[in-house]
Amino acid sequence: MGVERLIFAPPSEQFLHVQRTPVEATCPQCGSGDVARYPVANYVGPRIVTKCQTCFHHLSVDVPTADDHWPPWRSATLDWPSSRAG
Amino acid sequence: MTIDIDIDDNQHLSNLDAKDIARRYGAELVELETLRYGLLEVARDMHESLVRSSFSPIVRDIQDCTAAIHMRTDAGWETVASREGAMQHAFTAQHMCNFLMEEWDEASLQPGDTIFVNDPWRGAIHQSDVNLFRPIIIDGRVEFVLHSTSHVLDLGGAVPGGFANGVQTHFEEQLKFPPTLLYAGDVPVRPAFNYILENTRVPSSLLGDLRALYGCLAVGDARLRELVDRFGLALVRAGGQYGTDRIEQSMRAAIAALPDGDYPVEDFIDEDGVTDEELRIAATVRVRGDSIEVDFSGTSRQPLGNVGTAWIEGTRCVQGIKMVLDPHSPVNSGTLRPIEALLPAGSAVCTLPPSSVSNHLDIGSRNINMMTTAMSMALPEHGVAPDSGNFAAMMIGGFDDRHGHEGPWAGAILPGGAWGGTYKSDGLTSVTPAIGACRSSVWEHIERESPIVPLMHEFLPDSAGAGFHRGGFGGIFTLLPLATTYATITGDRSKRGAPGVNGGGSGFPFYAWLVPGDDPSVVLDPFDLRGCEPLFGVFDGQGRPVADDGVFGRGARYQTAKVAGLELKPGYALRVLFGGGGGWGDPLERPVDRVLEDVQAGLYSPEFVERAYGVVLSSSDEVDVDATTRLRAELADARKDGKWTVPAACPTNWIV
Ligand SMILES: [Zn+2]
Repeated sequence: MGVERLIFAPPSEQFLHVQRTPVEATCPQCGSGDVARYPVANYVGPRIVTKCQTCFHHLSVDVPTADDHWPPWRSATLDWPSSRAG
Repeated sequence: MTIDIDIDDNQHLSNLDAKDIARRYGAELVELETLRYGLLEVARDMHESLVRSSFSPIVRDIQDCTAAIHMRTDAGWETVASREGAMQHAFTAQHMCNFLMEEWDEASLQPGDTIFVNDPWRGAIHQSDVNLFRPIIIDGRVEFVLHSTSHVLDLGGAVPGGFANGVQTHFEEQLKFPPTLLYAGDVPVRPAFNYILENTRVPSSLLGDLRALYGCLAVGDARLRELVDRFGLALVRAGGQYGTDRIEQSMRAAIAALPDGDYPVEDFIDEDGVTDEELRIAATVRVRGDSIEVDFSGTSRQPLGNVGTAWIEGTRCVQGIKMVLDPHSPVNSGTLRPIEALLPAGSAVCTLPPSSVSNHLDIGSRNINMMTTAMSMALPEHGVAPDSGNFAAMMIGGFDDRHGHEGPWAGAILPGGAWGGTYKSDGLTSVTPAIGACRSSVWEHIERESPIVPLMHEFLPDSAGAGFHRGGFGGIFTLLPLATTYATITGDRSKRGAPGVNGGGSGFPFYAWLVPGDDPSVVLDPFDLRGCEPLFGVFDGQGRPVADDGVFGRGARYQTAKVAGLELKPGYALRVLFGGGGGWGDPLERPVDRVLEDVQAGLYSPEFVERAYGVVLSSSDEVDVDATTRLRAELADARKDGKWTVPAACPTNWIV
């Protein structure tokens, strides 16, 4: 991981949408089969949720990994050893 | 003493008695209440210290500043108490702390360390809002992080004062600081201070503000340690947990009372200050049970100009929801827990670096207005119309060449705005929009510190959106420079004013002129446009403002209300007219005595109330009841036939 997530080209689409990826699962709360996984900003920060679309029960709330690209940007020095000054 | 907090218990707090609560939190209810308020008092003390010791008028007078206490929890870092001058900071502080603490090596932190951040891609609102964080280490572990925020007058960049209208990247805006050590163990880090102070136009003000931001954290450190020394860490933590759970329960109870459903809302930004492209801000507010999802899908791509934001809208939206659902409880982590946001990457609400994001005011105001509108759809009996949507914000500065005052100077002017009408009452007049809800400027201070004279700051007649409950009135602000002054004006809702709801009319839009300053009769009459140069607004062919069917920018110097580098010479005044809030409900139903009261108070003209309220006056203090009944019936019929709509608020007696 280096400097590749510091500068981005602006998107070409006029309007943007968050994609919800369907997940094969049954909601333990309401029994619905309509479950999806997608990035959110929850109360502490960026997260990836797997969530019932019928009742909003969370099947999981995950801290994003590098592959999730959420948020899209990332510090270039995140994995470097820390000095006294940070 | 250790206390196990059983937070997995699904029982709502409101269903528990004092014994159950004591069992859950391991402490008596009276202790928990004492400590949740104890933490609030620490935050209040920090905030008061910040306001009293800051140098810049933005903090000292406008109170664009906030203090917060974050606590370590299983979820990360949660805000257990905050005290705000600018409302939005209370909703955005928690993410910033989490971004910082995920990135910073905790093992390297020492008591008295203070970290500086103003990076919008790490949760800051814009670079002008700077944040200092101070970890509180207890028994070798960081247990709390104290946080102070304020807007500062200048941090370098192409445009003095930071609202860098017209630029396209954050490189051209204020200096951007990823987490940077500013004090190492209470000792100022000289390279960090030098870098900041040598890259600002107002080092004296900025140094004062940085010391105030640091000093209030030192005050908070002492107060929080007093609390921990007296009650013990476990009990203070239990109080923080109880306080956030209690607020969460309050929010969830209010959300659960809403009908489940999807509530789609949208609003617009006139343009981005670079192109004339209108920006659509869209959201679907989904309510399920006691939680909400705000999906900003459908929002326009990030603009070229500075009117998008990087990250904050996902929690700033909560402010609009809370305003309607749970207006009285203090803001903490519990306020945010029931709500998640979907932010499309690359859209105006999640712009990618290196976009410019310095004007967050307009999009933030739209966000709040959209959320109150969605809540009004879910709870039609609790509707709230949108606010003026801009602060008429001005950053001013230059070189003061008056004898005895020589030197660079900078100031901020926030004349204010107005709120929309609500289901309960008319909208508030002369207040800043809800994202800030801070104060407007103190003119005596501005006059003393700056080579300008504020000539007028008063209500603007015929500016409030008509309604059963009308909007608040917008205002007039006129300033006369005594030395050459450069102004940045940041505003929107200049193409059309704040919309009404439930049949209400829209407010007056946002306008500005350069006015010859040598004739008091002209400069003090906001309706006298003779010799005035229009800067922006919607005009007819004669240069008269017309809110409903004029042309934006016709005959004006700018095709935008986002202006930078406007040169003001002594002898010419700058006049802005800012709009009122939208109206709530049908103006044809507003009791005639209330319409008459507004006319008698000089707030509405007889001409406007006839056009918008169908109220005909026979004299200055009498309503012609028969003519009014007839006219109201005619207008209602015409509306049914699609031949009449409530006119936008707009004065009519212009002199051109
Ligand atoms: Zn479900």
